[in-house]
Amino acid sequence: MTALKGIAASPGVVLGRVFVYTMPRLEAVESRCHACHRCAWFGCEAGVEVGEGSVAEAELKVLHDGIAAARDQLENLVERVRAERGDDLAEVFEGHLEILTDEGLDEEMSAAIVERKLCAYGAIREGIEHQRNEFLALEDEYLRERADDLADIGRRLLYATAGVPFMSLGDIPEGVIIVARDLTPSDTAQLDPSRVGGFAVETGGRTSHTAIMARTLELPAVVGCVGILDAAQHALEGKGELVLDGGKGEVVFNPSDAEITQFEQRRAAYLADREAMLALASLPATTRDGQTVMLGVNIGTPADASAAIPWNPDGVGLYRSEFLFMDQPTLPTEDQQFKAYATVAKVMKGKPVILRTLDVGGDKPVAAIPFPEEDNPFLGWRGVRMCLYAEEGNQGVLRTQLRAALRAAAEGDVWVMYPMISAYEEVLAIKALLAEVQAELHAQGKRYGQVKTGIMVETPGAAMIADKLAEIVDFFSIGSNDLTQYTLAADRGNQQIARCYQTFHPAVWRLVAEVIKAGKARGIPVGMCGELAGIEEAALPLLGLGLDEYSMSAQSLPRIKRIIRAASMDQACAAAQAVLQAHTAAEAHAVAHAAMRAVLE
Amino acid sequence: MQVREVEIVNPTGLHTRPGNRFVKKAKEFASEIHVVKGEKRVNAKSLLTIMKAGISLGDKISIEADGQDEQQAVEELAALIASFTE
Repeated sequence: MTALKGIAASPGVVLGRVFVYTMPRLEAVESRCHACHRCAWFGCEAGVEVGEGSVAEAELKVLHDGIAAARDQLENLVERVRAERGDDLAEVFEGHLEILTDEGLDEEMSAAIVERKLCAYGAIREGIEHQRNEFLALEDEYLRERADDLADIGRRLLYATAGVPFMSLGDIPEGVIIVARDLTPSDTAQLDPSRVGGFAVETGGRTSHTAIMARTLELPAVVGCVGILDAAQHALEGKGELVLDGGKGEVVFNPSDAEITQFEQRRAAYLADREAMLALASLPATTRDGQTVMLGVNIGTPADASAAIPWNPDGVGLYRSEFLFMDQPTLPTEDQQFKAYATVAKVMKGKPVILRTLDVGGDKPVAAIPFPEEDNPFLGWRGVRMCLYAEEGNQGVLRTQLRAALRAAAEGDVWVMYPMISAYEEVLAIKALLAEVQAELHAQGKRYGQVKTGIMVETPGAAMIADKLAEIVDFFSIGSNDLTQYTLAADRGNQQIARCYQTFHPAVWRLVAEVIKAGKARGIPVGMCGELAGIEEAALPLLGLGLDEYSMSAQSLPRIKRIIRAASMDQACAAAQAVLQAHTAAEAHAVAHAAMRAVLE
Repeated sequence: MQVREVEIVNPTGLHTRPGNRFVKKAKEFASEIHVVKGEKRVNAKSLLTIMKAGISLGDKISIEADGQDEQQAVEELAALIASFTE
């Protein structure tokens, strides 16, 4: 047996026969290509110069016959994909067809033959390569990825021109696991998930086209698995079997009986778990006695929002806007922010999206904003403190962000919340600034929508005056991580005092209880977006305290939902009281744990 | 020559699929048609150049048509862009 480890691209456990998928060598090109100095790619050496008109004409004919042949193939593929997989995917290949027959591309390749004396194959390769590079140079990430489509089109055109058919992945034997160097979009589009068990490829990362496609098709997959082609060839000399765990990124060739048993157990566990979790996704987070809460997701990018959709969240409880600021040396423009926020709002289809304004500080700086040296960055110039007032010098950052958020609110339900609030007058200043920005957009005739205004409650100070703050905001979101750290005066990143940072410390819970009570008294929703909201033992007591909204990573949603659906409010309230009355964090955790077990049984 | 200004309202902009529909529509007209975004002016009948212009959500672009069916071309193309939801 040979075991290899790659990148976990798409979960699932599968056992099957090895099928090595390789492209045939372009021998036709090697034997007839007679002039291309660049065709080392195909192993052809430099030969005679193409100069005379007749040779150029012959090459042009080869090129145009090739384009026609590739066009026929693509037209067939479009029809087949439309019938088998639907209009959406068919349109991707219609796009390929459009690019293949693009006048500009044809002119570029023809000019390479006539003016630069390349053969048809050299011209195709250069033309495609040039277009690919132009896409790779674009700012937009989505468009950069279209370079993969160009490579796919180029490969099809080269093979069609040479008249070399390559095996369609739609026709491979049933029950195999595909091993390849890489799979292009048209390869994966032809995969029939009912016939193929999964695949493992040498190249790519978690966000490569191949990996995304695997997750969409729900095919177990491992990518970036170096050496897998050689290992597969070697395995074919033996039994040629393969087990693959896409959730762990593990591949074992010719497994022993013990290994097969172990993978079969993993497979059964994976399937049972997945079925239970997906069944939960479509159900509301409602207790046995009819109390419903909202379960939202925490995200950092529009891609995170799309990835969360299968888990059916009730909204985005925390959209961390700082990711846009961290990836680049300059501040993101208003339009750049607007696009990201509006995309998330549209993806969530009218469900609330709670956008947190820039939350950075000396401990997690961004390149575009100079941070002073501070003795205590956690107690310093961070969150809304660094961009609220004009004299801080960063008010423009917040203004731009609010303009983008207000414009995005025309595309969905956007709520804006502000981090690191410790005083009432900060909220007044925010509301004044928001009104100014809104008036400015109105005066400029820009399209915008209304936003709800809320605050993160993450300082004990804000928690203690929550009743007053509730008078002037539309919602609260408790940031349990910082609230714990500030309440217990324990840096959560400091390993030496890790024991002091206690998630279940009754002091933290008492503050949480006060905040929820203050929100209830004014009729505003109270959510939680820290780690505590995704901890299973905390679900019941939080429910009992009256929390309206929980926000967590998408994968945690079904686990929390399972507990809420199994509970009654009586049980939840009893758990909440027991936690509030505990003497220590250990005691609070123990009673919460026992309550959870009782509910689940 | 006819010119229409439009704002892109769909999240993915004029990328692969919506871009393909746009180019297909443009090809139905005899007029020469260009799309202008800021400094860039590209042929509306080439998906490659349309995609590389990077036209996305919130962008304001102009559609310019020059030819016998220029009026109809700008109107139908502007209406098509407004109808995109993807």
